[in-house]
Amino acid sequence: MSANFKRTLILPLISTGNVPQLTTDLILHSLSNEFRFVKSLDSTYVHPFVGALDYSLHDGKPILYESDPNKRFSSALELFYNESKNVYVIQQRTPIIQGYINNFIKEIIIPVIKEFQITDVTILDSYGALDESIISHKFNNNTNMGITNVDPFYSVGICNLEGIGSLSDEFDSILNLKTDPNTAMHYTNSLLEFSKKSLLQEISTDQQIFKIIFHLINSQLGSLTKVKYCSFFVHEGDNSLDAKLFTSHFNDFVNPIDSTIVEIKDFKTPISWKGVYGFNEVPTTLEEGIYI
Amino acid sequence: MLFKQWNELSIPRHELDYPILTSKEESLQSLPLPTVSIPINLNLKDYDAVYITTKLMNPLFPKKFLNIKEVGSIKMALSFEETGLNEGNYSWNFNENFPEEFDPASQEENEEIKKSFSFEFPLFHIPNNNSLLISIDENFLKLSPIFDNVLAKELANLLVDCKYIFVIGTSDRVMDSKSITCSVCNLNPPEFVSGFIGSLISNLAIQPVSNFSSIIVPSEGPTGFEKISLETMNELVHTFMDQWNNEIDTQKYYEECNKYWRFDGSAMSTQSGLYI
Repeated sequence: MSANFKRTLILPLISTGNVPQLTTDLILHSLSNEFRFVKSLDSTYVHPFVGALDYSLHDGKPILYESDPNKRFSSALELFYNESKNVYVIQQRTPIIQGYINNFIKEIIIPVIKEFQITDVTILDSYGALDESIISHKFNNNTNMGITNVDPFYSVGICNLEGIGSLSDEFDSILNLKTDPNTAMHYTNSLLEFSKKSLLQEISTDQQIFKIIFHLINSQLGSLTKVKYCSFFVHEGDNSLDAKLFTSHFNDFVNPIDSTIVEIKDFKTPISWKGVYGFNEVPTTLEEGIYI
Repeated sequence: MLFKQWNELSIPRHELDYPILTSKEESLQSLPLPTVSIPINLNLKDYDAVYITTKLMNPLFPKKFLNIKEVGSIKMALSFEETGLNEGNYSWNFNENFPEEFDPASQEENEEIKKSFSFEFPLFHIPNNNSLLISIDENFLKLSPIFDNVLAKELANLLVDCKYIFVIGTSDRVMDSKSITCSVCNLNPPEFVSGFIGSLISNLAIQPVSNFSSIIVPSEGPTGFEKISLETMNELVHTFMDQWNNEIDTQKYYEECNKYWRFDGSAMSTQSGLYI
């Protein structure tokens, strides 16, 4: 398929430090003159949210939503489109409700892929030192033996759906699941082909990415050819810099073959990032409240 | 209850404290949605006003003073079966077993566990202005947000063409009271509303239901255990004085509301006690 016919969907997972959401914010607001709001997606399976329309200080008004002048509220799940780069982006503002991740993928994400004839899905994820299923497994099983220039932050893995043939029929046997004796978790390294430089070389079956790929493979999506998984190592805290570093890989998220897509260098942050604690002051005495 | 100051291990920001519906994290199966049953004879268009709020606001509707009568209830239920090993259930039987060990009495392989959740929220008729009160008992320890979302979606469908809808909610992410209608949103980023009220406003806006108005007041604390300041309470009581017709003694109404605010322990002041 020619690069011109590629249509990418970027999907941020809710994960450590909310870095994929912040990265999506940066992509949308830095390229706000290219992106436009398409529609709100059904948010039954995510935590409730209603907020104001966000905008960057540079723009001064919510120009992302100019395509829908009647829109007053932002919701938990919104779809945006960049025509010049042929990229769709979903902004997910709240986590998926416990137990409903499979419903979410099957009933919300897959219909979007079908409706807009998406060819490439890029999934943004992050992990940190407290993510035991990733970190402790990594310590016990060094999967980067013999590789010298490992990138400690950015990992990228690709699942070529054209090349996996009848994987859905023999999902379990081809997956080659390994069980970690310490945690009883299952890991696979055959679903995604990670780049040699990636620190991550395996995913566990409880990770969101595993479920997403499983459902994508089992949904007979004619248009979809590739799922790319981009994961970033972060710490909890002020993650705005992590998001900027992650956004610098935007080229890779979209389509590395297409050289017309330039790097985002001029970062525009949305106004909702102002202040670590939002507008509220940090309470200093019990009289000001017992909760932080 | 978790007070962050004394909590040694900080919970990652993207992990929210909510009821665990299923313990099978590796499952690839979809879960069913909760069902909602609303009394069949209930027609929201029969009422001149519909008030929708959470339990925290119940003091604004003193039952005896306003002659409020229960007219039915909204029932929600969710049940599903889980198959698989009963792993992860710790035994607290200290009869020579350490807590880390599984309870020998429950060691059954592939046992089928039936999980069911059900909730009931009463509906009240307020004769003073022929209005209906729907007050949801939110509780972050018991009520999964899936119930909030399903109920909000169902109510938004029923509220189309109602004469007047007034939504009262709280948020710990707003600085002062905000009024929100279908065409006006006074929230400024990063202010937002979550919980049942957030879901309801989101659904009303998407539907769209044109004749709703809402007030969102600042609060502190987790869902279902919010505290609001005395100033906010005063503001709410004064807002509601205009809702009732002339037959009402406003001074008495003010006193009744304040009495119930204090009983419910929703007041945010040192006099209301440090302990919950």
